[in-house]
Amino acid sequence: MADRKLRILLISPKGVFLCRSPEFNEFMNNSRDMQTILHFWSGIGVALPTLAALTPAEHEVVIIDENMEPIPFDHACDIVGITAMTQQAVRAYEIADEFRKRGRHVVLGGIHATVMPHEAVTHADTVVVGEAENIWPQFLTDFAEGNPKPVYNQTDFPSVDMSRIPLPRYDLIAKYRYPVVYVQATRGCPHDCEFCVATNIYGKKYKHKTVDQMVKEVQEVKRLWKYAQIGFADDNMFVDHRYSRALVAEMKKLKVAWLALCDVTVGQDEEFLRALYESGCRILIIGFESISKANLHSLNSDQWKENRVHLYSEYINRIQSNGVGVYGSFILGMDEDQPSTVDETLKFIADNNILGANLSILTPFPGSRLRKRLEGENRILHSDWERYTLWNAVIRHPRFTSEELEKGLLRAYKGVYNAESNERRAHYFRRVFENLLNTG
Amino acid sequence: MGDLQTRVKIEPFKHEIKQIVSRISRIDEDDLQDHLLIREELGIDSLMAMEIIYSVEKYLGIKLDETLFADVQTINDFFILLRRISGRANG
Repeated sequence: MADRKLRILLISPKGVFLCRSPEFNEFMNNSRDMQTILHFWSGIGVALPTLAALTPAEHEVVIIDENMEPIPFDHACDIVGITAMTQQAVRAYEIADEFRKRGRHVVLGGIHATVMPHEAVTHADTVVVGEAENIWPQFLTDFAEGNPKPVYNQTDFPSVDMSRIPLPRYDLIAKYRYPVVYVQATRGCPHDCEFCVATNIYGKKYKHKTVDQMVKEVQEVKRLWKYAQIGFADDNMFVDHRYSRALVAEMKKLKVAWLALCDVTVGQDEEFLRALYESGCRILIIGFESISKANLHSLNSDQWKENRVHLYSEYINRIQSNGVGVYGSFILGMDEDQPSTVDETLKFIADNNILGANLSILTPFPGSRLRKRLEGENRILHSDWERYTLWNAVIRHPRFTSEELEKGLLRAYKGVYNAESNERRAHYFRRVFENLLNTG
Repeated sequence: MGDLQTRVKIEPFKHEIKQIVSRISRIDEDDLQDHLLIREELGIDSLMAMEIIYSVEKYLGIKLDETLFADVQTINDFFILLRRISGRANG
């Protein structure tokens, strides 16, 4: 029994990302800039290729991204593994139920199953809580021996050492022509923003793969996708400065264009920014969240963002002057937002020539401190996960209705992405690149 | 900067432009085939496009109006546009 060859199907479900309103969808479909945002997020995370790499070679693994192809419900397999974020949860459960009807053993994991295991167990034979690297091999052994458990929790295993994670099986998703292929170098973030679930998943401890691992991963992605950019799916990439410098120095040798998520303090180091540009880093996605000190005051327990909001403009200018574009993440619907907030945010984006903006409505994802607070204040309007798109209002705001929040978000996007704003940004970046070319 | 008319009429023009696109997009020059779609297939984003335009301006010694690039779909379209603009620039 233990030597049995297993056939494993790993699935990333289609999610209801962004907004479901026809008005928003019309804007999305007619805006090249909005298509760029979708472009950033079109690839799947590194979880499924990593699970495939952790699967002993004698077993057969197939990966399906439902955003790219339909689910093969009649695929002959023993195990179906599904990973899902909250926006994907409803679809993940539908898929799980279908496969269970067909007698497959369904395993649910990922962020949503980790924070809502009691919900996930009603749709799965096995639920994986937390990081899966140490759990997955044990589950496969237990399954092959006819004794899989209903729940595996990372806290019952040694902590995951990222330096021991094998090269993800990118070859299994190379059938999809992603414009951005995601890798992961680090996990965790020390800032513990109220709305974020990362600390709940990884703890406050920051950890990373080795530089050598990442070089091999990037080389493998470049081998399989000659036109794709590399996306670092890390929560906050440059927290460990020595590691970041070593990794960026190696990235420079690999001839790839790449983007990453990080915090704004990357903007304090001119030398590092120059190294980023020379290494092929094109875009940094930075969570500013709000330009209101009042909003930022209670976001982090140590007022980390509140204490830096006065530096936002200086840092943005330094980053972009070095040829790296900033995509700023801003949240509307925070408690201290006023009727003027949308216009103030648009002015900040315009005044600082920010290349792009990811705007969203404050969303109390399960597992976040925000959700606990708003539950206590009886302010959560919906727990239908399909509404948790980041563009739909699911909370009761002190001053705005849900409709006002959603209309405000659409107005904000239209204020960022229009011909006049694009022309202004183009003029700004013309000066940036002229300067870089003349001084470089 | 050299003689523009000479540059635009000889093959190295294309080669040099492809080198610029390759340096900025980090795609090997040999993989920059003329028929490929710049945005959808080569994944060249707006920031890269701006850097390419300004680098080509500097190389050719001409000024390019970004709005003309709205209809550029492929590498070949880019060359056609550059030939048209540079030809006009040289009377």
